[in-house]
Amino acid sequence: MSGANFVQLMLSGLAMSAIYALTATGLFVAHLATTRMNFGQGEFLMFAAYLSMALLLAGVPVLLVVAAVIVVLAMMGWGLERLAIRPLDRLRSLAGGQYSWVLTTMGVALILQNVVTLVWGKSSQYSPPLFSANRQNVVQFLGVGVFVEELLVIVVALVAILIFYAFLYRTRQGRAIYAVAFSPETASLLGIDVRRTVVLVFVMASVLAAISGVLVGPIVTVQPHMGLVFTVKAFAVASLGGFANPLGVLVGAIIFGVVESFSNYVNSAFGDLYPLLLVMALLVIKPSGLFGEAKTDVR
Amino acid sequence: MIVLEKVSAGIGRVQILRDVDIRVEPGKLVLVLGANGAGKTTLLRVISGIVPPWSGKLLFGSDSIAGRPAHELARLGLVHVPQGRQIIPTLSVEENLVIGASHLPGITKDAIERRLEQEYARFPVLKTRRSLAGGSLSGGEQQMLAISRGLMMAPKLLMLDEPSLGLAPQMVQRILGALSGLAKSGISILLVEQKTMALEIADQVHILKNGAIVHSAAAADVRDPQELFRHYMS
Amino acid sequence: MSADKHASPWPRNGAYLAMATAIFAFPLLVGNTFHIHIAQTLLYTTIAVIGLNMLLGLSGQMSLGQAGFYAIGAYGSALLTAKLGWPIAAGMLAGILLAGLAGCLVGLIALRTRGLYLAMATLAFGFMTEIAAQRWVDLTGGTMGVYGIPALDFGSSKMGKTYFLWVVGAAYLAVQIASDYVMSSRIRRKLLALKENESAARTTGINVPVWRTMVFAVSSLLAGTAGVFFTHQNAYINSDAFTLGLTLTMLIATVIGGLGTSYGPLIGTLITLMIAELIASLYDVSFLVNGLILLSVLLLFPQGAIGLVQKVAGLFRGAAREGTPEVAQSGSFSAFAPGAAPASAGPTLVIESLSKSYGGVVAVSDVSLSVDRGTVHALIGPNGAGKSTLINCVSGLYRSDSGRIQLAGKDVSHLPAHARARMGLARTFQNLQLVNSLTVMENLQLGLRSTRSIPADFSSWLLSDAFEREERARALDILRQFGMAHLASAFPEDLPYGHRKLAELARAIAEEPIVMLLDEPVAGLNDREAQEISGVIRRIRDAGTSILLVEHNMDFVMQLADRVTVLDHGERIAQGAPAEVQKDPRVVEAYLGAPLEASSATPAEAVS
Repeated sequence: MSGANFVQLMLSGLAMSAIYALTATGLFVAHLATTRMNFGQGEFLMFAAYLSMALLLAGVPVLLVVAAVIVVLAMMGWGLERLAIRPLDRLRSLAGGQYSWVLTTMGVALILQNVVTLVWGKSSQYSPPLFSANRQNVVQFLGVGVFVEELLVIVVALVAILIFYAFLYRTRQGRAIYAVAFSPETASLLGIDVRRTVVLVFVMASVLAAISGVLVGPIVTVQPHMGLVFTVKAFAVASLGGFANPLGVLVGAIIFGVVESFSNYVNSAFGDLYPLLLVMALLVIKPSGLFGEAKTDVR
Repeated sequence: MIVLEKVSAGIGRVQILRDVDIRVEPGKLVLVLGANGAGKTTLLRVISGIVPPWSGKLLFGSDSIAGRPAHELARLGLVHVPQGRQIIPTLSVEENLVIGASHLPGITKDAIERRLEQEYARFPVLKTRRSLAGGSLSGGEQQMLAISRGLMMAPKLLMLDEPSLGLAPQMVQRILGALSGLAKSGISILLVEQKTMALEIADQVHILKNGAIVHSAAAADVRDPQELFRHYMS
Repeated sequence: MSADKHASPWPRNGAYLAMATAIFAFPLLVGNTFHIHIAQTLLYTTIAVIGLNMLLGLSGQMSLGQAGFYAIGAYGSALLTAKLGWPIAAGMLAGILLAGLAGCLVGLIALRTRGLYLAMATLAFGFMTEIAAQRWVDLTGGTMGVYGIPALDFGSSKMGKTYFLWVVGAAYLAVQIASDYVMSSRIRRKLLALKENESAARTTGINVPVWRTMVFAVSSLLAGTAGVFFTHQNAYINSDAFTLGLTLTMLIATVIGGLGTSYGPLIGTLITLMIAELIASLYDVSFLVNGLILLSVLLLFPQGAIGLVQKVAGLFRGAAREGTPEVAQSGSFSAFAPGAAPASAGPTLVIESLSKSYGGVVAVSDVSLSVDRGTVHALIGPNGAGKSTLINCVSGLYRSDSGRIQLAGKDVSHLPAHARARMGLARTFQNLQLVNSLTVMENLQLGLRSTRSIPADFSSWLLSDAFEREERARALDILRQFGMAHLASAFPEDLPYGHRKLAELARAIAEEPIVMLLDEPVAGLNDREAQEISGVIRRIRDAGTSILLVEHNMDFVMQLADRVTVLDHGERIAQGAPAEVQKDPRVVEAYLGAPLEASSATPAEAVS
């Protein structure tokens, strides 16, 4: 492998890491506050990618596209909580046992995937680039030609993650999430509206899927089945980080994306499966992930 | 300030409180003593809106508060410092202090700063620990933090659930001293305890046994705490 | 679920016979090969759904990877027979075993983690098998598929489909019978206990990780069985068949039929197949329809089809269930027979300098105590003194940091909770750990030690009208001594609190323990109920069982205890006869705080 190859692979890996980090952070934040999450997180990303592609192709300016996709997905997150999560508390649903929410959120994902297929068709499509005139535009980076889109996806995702951290750690709503995560009862004694906070985390998870969806368009092919791939990988990433803190998720994403990039290079047929196998093996050896406390018990 | 009339409550089908009458006037400190399992915690949880009462009247000022959600009551100034402090371990001391106050309607940044300084003056140790994680404080420091966190919300009624639990006697004295001062400043305080140390700062004392009040007296009339021991141990 | 539920096995066996007859006659009466094909598909898919039903409905574990096990069974048998020329039977068996083996491997994750991680690990597993089937073209042929798979037609192209249906039908019936046995035997009780309440399961002697993994492996074995039949039904497979859609169809069949019910899988599979046929022409919206079904079943009819039928039927039966259950006629059994305690005198439970801390906080520090045979030892102390921690260390739910625990002379310090339970250590919990989806009777049966092997138990269930009669008689006997015989078929949640406390105590007695640990046996009870419990505990003690109890009700402790140990801040501050301990100034201080004189330092200085 040449040095140039190495840098390119690294960068491609990091671009995917950035997407995984955003998507997995969405799973993480919902799980943090509610111990539940959207098993259709990947389908939300897929839907955002299609929506963004359609708007870009219609000639809508990029910033407007981003804003529109975020607004639509935020509303979908709100709807998901109202439709597929909250009613289960009232019903104390017996059907799926304590994991009814896994099935309801997957049900929503199925519907979404079908709607996308009906609207945009089954075949893979190429989303227009966000940052440059051509998907294949290359700039010199560390003396190596790298794709502009990949480079900028990393930058934008990083900015988005930093904004998310700032929200989580620096605003009262963000701290309210930690209070609810610690104890919903204590949170309500501190004047925090727990129900609103729960809605908020699902909205945030969807917004993170929205950003990932917009960013992922130009670096992969967009197709209706991509959702499952991202759900599975985002969960693997969050498990790698142990669902313990957002930094663990970020480190997990970096490891996962880079390993995947190199294993794809080594074995183009099954390279994308190796990191998943590694994570599953890790879960057997260290059930709480790389950064989780030994007592972390994800139920 | 707060009036309970014939309040009964329970969890699931299990009745815990039976026809409890309690009244806390502004600036008074009312102490409820009881053994484990007597219903002390449930009493506070009913008042703060976490457990809905089955029957009876709950008045805050002149408004009925039965059935209102806990976070609304907290914002109205009905502040409950729960048992075991419940400091949010992942947030810093200062973040813990601010978190309740920041959810009050219409509060300004200045007001929060002012209250923060006030609390740092009350418990200077919190200022020295301000950027440490809440989980790293000692039990006594956490209790001070819990009380200050409640006070940051400008309570009209402050309820405390066994603040002395697990603290050394000296630390308990500091906490009780602070509570006594707060009552004098006009805040109503409802304190539930297992131990009788708080008697000397209380105005009124009730003994809770098996969910019912079995004995009420002005704190000044209680001479011998052994007598109280008889009331709730036997 | 009344006590005489198992009175006669013949109505049930009649149903099996009727189904067998129907399966036999169906292909002979219906000439249409398409309908025979559908019937085949229904039966083998039901086999997989039964596995999922046990996994999700009884053990409460979620698998999103059933299609993966199905695929492993299918490809295993397909490749062995088509490429290596194995005989069909050998290939099928190998395919099924391969799926079971894969289940054991994935089940390792279930062993270490649970819940959410398992759901996701299985989703990842299903995803990986799907990808492997698509892309590992050298092996699987990808979307082109595997050709040359022998059909299971016994060499007859004319009668082949009929024979296949009979074979699948026999397999289905065997699995259905096995599943019915599981659902009405001690296996169901154990699985529900570990689903609902792991602590209760462990302290009644259930090896939780082993059971959890076993159910997972069985469910994957059954999914593999369906895959094997699928392969030899069509004599051709390709990767399109093994997608997440298949897993979801099976999940939908499970919940739509009624989770945890006996015939739910059959009904659910029938409904999903019918829907699939109906929307075959609307292939474009199949996901949409499936998603909507999933949502509406979970949100609107969470009890599923069987549940709905039962509900409607229940409206007519109504009061019948409230009737008093039969009172078993066994006279001589003594409910309070302790287990094989050593005849020698001396303590049956010895705790030697036990310590336990969490995250640097010492909860129990160097505590020693011993409980003599046939005595009541009370553990008291203020909140946070470490009493519950101590009880949890003794029962094995927590591992102590140091110190030794001896039960009837044997060191059990390093044994897990379920092993200690089997050696004669029973306990009750402060916050009640009854299994709510089991009746009072069944909760007691959970405590009873079974002496029959599984095959003996199975044949008794299948053939005898005396299945578990003895166990039920014993359980009822214990309940009668508690004055609760009439509540045998009630569910714990429908009982008043006092009765639930009694039921939990009765379950502990059913274990015939040498030592009983009671965590706040009268908390939340009124005086009369406390008296009742006190009487029961006395009788247990008089029968020779040793009791260690934690309690705050002092009247109760002082009346009942032979010895008392007082803990404060994790340390033993007093030990002795109740009257001595009550007078000990350190005890009064622990409860009331420092004497008032000493605390009259000016509190005012502390305020800023």
